[in-house]
Amino acid sequence: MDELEKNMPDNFWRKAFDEAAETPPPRVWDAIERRLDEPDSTKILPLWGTGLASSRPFVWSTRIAAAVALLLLGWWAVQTLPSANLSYKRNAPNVIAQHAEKPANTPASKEPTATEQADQANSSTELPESVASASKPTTESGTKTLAKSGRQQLSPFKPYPASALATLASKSRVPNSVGSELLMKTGQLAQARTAPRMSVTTAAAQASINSVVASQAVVTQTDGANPTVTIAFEPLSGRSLRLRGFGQIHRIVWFRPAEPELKPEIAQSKQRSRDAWASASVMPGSFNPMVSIKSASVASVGSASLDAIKASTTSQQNVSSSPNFSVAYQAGAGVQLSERWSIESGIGYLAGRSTLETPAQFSSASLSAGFIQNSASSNLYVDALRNSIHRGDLAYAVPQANYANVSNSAYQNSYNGQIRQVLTNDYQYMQVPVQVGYQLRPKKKLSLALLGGIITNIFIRNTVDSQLEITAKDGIYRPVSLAAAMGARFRYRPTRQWSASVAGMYQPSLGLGTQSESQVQSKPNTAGMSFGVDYHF
Amino acid sequence: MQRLLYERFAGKLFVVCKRYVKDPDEAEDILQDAFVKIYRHIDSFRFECPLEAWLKRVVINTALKHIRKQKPWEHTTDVQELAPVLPQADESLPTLNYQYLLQLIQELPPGCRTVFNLYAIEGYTHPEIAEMLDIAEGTSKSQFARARSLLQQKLQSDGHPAEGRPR
Repeated sequence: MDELEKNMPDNFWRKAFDEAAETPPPRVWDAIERRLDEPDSTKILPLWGTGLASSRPFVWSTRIAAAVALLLLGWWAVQTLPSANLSYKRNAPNVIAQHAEKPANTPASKEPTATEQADQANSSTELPESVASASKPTTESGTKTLAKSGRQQLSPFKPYPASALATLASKSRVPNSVGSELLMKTGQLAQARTAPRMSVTTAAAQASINSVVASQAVVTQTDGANPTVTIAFEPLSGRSLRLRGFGQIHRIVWFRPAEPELKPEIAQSKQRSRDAWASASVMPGSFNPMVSIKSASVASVGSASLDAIKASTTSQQNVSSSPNFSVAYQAGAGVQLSERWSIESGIGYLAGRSTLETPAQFSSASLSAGFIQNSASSNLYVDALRNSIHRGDLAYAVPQANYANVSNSAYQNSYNGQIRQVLTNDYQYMQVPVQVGYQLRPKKKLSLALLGGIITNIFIRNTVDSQLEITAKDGIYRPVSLAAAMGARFRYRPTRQWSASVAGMYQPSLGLGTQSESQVQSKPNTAGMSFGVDYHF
Repeated sequence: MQRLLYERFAGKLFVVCKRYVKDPDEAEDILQDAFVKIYRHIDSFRFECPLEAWLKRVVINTALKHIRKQKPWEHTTDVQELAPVLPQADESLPTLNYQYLLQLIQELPPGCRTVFNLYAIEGYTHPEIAEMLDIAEGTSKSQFARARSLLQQKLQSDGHPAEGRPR
């Protein structure tokens, strides 16, 4: 394998071009100079130099010192210049001009052609890539000989870090003498280049600049290989400064439009969870009063014969109630206590119907086929109801019923277990439920909640076979009874304000719905499906 | 300061430019662009390498950017098609003037010239060249082989038979 394949740089070619140099035409430098004079808006070069001057402690200490100086200056100005309107006038306008004699062999600068200007414009936008890649480190290290003498006072306003360039030159393989020349010329060229572009911001700065500029003499540098360069400086002719009065402070009033007060997120969520709603629902279902007849109560009837007592005792188990269709209407309101818990209450009306089968006794005339109709009979249930009425006057309790023709003597007849009478009972209750809900799917469009609570049933009336009406005043039924409520409710909430709900409810009574001394015992329960519409506030 | 820096290094860097482009005006443009970049980005020099090497890198990158627009390596010859011979570097070569060698390089096709400069003189490897020029590594190798062959032929035709010996 040859050496080039192994990428051993060919010494012949490298040596041939190592020291090869060819002076470019002067127009190249002229073009460079023109382009450097153009404002470079692409990047701002730092003024604090490189190397040690750019080290972080130095930069920070400089900044701190500058800040302290500014504060002291401001304090001094406030203390010593009390007048409201101050005017400052510069002394005599200085004039600075630059005269740089070109070397004798240097032709006059060439005016850039249109092509050159276009190239300059194009190339000015292509800077970072090549320079950045050119910073790739190599193994060689430069010598670090510092330039020792020949430092000129440098202008503080220099477009390029002249000291850095000088250091660069000295750190490269340039001999010390060249480095000194670089340093010496750096200050001159930098000042010559930048003086016309100086901008004065404060009086102190202007004064310092004037002193610097005035101190410049005509400098002549002679280089063995280079022609003589003569640079003359004259003060700048600047405009007079007008300082703002210290007493008139123009305040900037920042206007901030009123914004809605931001509440903490926790409070917002709490408020959001306090959702309140009103609902109206209807619950078709079944109502079973679970009626039974107490035997002792029948026996207590003074006029009852022993046979009747026997008969009533044997028939107790034969009174059976079965559920029938019922409807409960409810209007309620609820509130969300937390994300999952809610409480709700309302008022409702329950129309419960049940079918009751009871042993009957009847006269022989009305007997037919072992089963009797309501018309010509008395039955255990009705008799028990009648006997349980605590209005003092039995005749008052049962006057309008068909049982009016049932005499006490008939009651003495024995109830035939084979003969049964079917009665319908229409119960009416007012209901006041108080329920607690637990959300299993909170904040969902389709939510599911478990419900549990207490229902206060306020008895209104019970109509037996559409003929006998028992009210709360009759003392048979408790005016107020309690029932438990439990169930689950699906709620679909398509909009923020409206929702529909379907709930399955079971409401067993927590105690007897009848008075304890009543012959008729009832412990009703209700089960049904509730369909409701809710409006959320 | 800028002028001193220019006068100190412009001569060498101008030869570098001329190695990469044949047209002297193009070389001047590259040199001009490179120096403007140097002056505007001198603060990015971190003393990690000699200043001259850094300046040379800037010039080479500027030249490559200039050349890259022309895409001189789009139509290349496969490596196998080229004769595996090299101009021999023996004792007689150092007597050759750099201007003569520069002329030889300048007469190379642009793609060959660039790869030859980067590989034989600057010392980059083929993978590095491929990345710099955004070409395949094989393209870099074939371009270099072609440059090598063309240089050998030219040297032989110019009466330097010693350089024609295969290595």
